Amino acid sequence: MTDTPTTDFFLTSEDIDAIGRVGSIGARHAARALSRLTATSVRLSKPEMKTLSIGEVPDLLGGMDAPAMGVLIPFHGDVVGNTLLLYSDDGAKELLKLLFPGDDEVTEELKDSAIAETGNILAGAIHTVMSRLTERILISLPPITVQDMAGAILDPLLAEAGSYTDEVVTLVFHLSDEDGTCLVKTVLIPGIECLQLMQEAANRLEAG
Amino acid sequence: MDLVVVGISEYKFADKPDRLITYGLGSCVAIILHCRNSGVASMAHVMLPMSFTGDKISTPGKFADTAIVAMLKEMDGRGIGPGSLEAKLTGGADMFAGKIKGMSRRIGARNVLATRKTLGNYGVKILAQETGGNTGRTAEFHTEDGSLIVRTLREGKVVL
Repeated sequence: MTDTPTTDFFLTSEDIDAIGRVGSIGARHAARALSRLTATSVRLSKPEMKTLSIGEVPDLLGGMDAPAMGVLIPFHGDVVGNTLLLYSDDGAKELLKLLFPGDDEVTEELKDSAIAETGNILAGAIHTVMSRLTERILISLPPITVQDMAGAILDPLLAEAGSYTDEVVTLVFHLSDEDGTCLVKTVLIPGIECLQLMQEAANRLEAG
Repeated sequence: MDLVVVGISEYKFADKPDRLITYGLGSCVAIILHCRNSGVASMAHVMLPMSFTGDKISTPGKFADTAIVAMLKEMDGRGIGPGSLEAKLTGGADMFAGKIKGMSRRIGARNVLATRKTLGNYGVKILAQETGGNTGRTAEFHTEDGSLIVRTLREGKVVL
């Protein structure tokens, strides 16, 4: 049983910028869907692209053992893989304020469901953009939410990245309400198959 | 008494009475080797089961097999052979309860299996193991009494 690299996959800084443009298109679609869902105006920033060493990634969420919430959106079809979204504990609370403004009596079940659906909308929008640009069939599977230590939630996708490199590409989005008073950091980690598809989509986008 | 922090893909050593700690294990595994006679201990935080390039890699602590070999080599340099060592393991969780797709599937179980197999190959006795499940873990090893404290957010702590 040996973990072998699946690819000689390598990204230049230009590739990473281009992947950010694919993320931006997904974010625009997701913002519209979230605004409809919440009947408010939800804004979603262009992704801030970060290439971090594996050990630095949990710092985006407050450290290895900081409580965090993860939403995993696996996909299948022509390609099988995963997209992971993470919120710090405080970020998840802010997200709920954004989704349920003025409502302090939201049940735990509804909170989980709302955070899962938000992740599903953002990741699903990016999957759709990738599918359209690469002309591959991608079907997003139901989201899975996990509340635990940030490092633990990140582990499987860090291991994927770790099998071929010591760095991880991350996309950091900021969700906000119309006046920007409620700001939620969302960290998106593409699995290796997702990242390869994002690069392919970015190449198609650049080629027009 | 110092607290030696072991990061992802690292392995470190500590001497009695210092402690070793690693945070936020999910599918990763903490491997602890301890020599009771000398009070020397080493902890690794491995991400993957086995290296494909053997001992040529720059980060041996990333893989279970290369981490164990590197730890044993350094123990040997301190005059401690595998027969004097006891191992404890924790981590190897399946954080998404089997729902993850692609190459990450069952990575935690594969990490544990590779760790046990490599330790077995070198004749290192495994004294205790708290692995699997769906929970994150922080592991703290006390060189003074050889105890391993495993903390979780939801299920409290256990002492091995």
